[in-house]
Amino acid sequence: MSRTHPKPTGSSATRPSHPAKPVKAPAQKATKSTSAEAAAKKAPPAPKRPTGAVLWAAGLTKEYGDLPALAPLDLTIPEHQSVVLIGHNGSGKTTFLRMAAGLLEPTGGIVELAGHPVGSVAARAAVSYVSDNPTFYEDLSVWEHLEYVARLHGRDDWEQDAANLLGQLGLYERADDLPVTFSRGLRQKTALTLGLIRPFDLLLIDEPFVGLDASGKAALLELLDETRDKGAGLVVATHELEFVQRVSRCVALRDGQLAYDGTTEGIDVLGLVS
Amino acid sequence: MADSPSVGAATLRELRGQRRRNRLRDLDWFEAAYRAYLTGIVGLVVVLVVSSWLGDSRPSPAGFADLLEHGPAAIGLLAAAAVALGLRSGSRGGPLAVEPAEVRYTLLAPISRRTALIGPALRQIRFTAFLGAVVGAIGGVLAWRRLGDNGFAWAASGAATGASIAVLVIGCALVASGLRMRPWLATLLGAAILGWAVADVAGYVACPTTTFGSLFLWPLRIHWIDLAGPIGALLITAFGLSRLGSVSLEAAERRTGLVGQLRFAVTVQDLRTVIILRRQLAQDRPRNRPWFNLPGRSRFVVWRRGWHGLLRFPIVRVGRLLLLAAGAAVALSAAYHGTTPLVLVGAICSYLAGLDIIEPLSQEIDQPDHTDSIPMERGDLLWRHAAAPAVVAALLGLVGAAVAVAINRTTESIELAAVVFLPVAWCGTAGAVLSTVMGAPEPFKDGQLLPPEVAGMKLAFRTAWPLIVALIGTLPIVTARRAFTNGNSPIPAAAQAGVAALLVAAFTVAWLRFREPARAWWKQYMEEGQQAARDRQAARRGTS
Repeated sequence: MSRTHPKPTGSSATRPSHPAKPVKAPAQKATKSTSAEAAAKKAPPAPKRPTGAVLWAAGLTKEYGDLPALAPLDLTIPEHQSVVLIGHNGSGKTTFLRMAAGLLEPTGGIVELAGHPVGSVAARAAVSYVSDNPTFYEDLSVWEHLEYVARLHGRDDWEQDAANLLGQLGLYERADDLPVTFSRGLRQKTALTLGLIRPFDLLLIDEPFVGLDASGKAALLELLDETRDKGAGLVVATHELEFVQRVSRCVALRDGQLAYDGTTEGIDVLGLVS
Repeated sequence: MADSPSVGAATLRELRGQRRRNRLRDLDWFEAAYRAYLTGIVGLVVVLVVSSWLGDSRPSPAGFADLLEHGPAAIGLLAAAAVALGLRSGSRGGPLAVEPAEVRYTLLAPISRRTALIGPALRQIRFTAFLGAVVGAIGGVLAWRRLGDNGFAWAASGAATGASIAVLVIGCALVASGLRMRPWLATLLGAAILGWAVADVAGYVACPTTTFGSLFLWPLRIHWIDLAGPIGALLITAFGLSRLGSVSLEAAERRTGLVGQLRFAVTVQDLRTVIILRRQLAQDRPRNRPWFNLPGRSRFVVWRRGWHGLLRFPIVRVGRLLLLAAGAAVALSAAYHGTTPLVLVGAICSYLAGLDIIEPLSQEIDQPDHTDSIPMERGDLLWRHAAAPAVVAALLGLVGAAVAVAINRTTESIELAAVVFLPVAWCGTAGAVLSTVMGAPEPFKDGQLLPPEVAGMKLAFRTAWPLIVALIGTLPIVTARRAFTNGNSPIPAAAQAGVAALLVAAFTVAWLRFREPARAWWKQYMEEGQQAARDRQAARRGTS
């Protein structure tokens, strides 16, 4: 490696092990958006907001031209809850996650994150989104990406955590390489480290297991467990049975409509996604 | 989306500065200098060529008076067209096209979006203003050759006008983007401004964009009121910048991905890719359901497939086709009445409409794997795809004919329109078929084993040929005009030229059908010839 990064704690650089007990990073609470609040006040009478919800969606819809992608969807995810989002291809999972992340504009309805309107500065501080189609700067290495994202979110003590994350996902030796040159699996891993290096209240991940090898999947499952242990909310769109078994709540979408919302115990995942 | 004062603007500045230093470190200065040198040479050649077209003879006093009266409005029309383009670009997420990663990481970070975007926006304004100033200065120098006086003053007024129009365009785009203007509203507003400028050219009512044209003519006389144009452009841009925090992330993300590909496709002259990307940028998507379902079943499966595609055209595309038909009719009417160069505008309208209506054929070209898996000769399949678009082209031609008749309202115009509409429509479509089926030029493949001069000419001909075919469709207008000025009846002359143009369209369909068998035959013929030559050579060696 051309520069000296901190090594993953408790291990050599070449054989990284699990990180030291994670220290909950203080979430960067940005200045509340006054104009966003003003807009929210002007909005027509909205459905009653639940208290203590990290994600609240009411009547959320999305249409592409004359094609409905998401029918009116009402969903509340309390703080610290982990949810698996399942559904067949085109069921609306990615549309929902991208709307919750603020990348897509709803055709109708409301989304709030930690009590803030989606897209506001406070909501952006609260939610971390990892897409199934990672994009990177062409001129930044993995390490420089981590620095950029962490510092934009107000973290100055990011280096040790970055090294630990890279070590866990087997990327430490590639920290100085450009992620745009990586394979599908390595790109996915890099995107995951970028999603996890910053503080958040809710992590939204779209198909994180696609393209990962067995060790990558194991490391990711562990990272997701740690995220949950830290107290963050989690919404993961996946059909990975091993993950489904680890969470208590499952939300299934079918043709843009809510098909199931309940416990994961004894559910027929294949039946819900077929 | 709402925004708040920045939380980390200093960090963002620092990180961006670091990236800029990285880029500068990796920059190949020799390559950059060479590019600048090439740009300078090309610019000089353009100036010299345009100067030679314009000539340097001084206009008469009447010409001067005419220039002062109509020149500002004519240049103002250009400014209005630029404003319309800016508004449309802004309504689709323009004018900024930041990196995809910038949307994902910076614009989703808890910092003010205005802070994040102000840098790229100012850089774009600076670059566009510089480009506008250069183009304007060139225009000023060209005007100086014809109109004399102080060359420096002409270059300066041209540069000021060009830069002001460029800033206005970016400003309008920023305002449309910041206000989340709907595309239909932006188009309507743009059309209204354009109509206003046209009315000014016609002398009905003054349009504010005329101040830009008047500024250009400052070396002839100074009107201080003309400064209202550049000041207005700056104010609009300042307002646009103040709305930067409200840009749509959905539009920005869509645009970031597409603009880079679009630029590349334009560079390699890949017209089909340009069309597809432009449609994606404009969200010009086929309808989920057709306008109406085709009844029953048909023996002609390709014909039916063609209609399935055509009946899914969105309303925007249908409107564009009707506008192009009307535009061709207006241009060709004006060409018949003496402005002959407008046949080129008519041909381009017809060609552009053709590119849209041959969509079923284009889809087949886009999916070679599908086509090759069909147990049917490729040419046989492709030429059947020409049938449904030919019907639509004829219908559009009829619309154009109706517009032409409505403009002229004479029996002669009805007869002429009846003779001309089909050649214009079908030759435009034939040109579109040629450019789509031939695909993007591949210099290494197309110019293989040819001397550079021949390869270059072949490439130029290949690029121009589709437009030439579309232009052939307008021959009936040109011959009718010539017959009329010679005191003959225009209709028989137009009919003769029309038959010739229709033959060209028919040859194109035949080319579509027999292109590949003919190529295979030629290849085999050449290989046999080479083999025979090798055999003769071997026989000669054997005997010696």
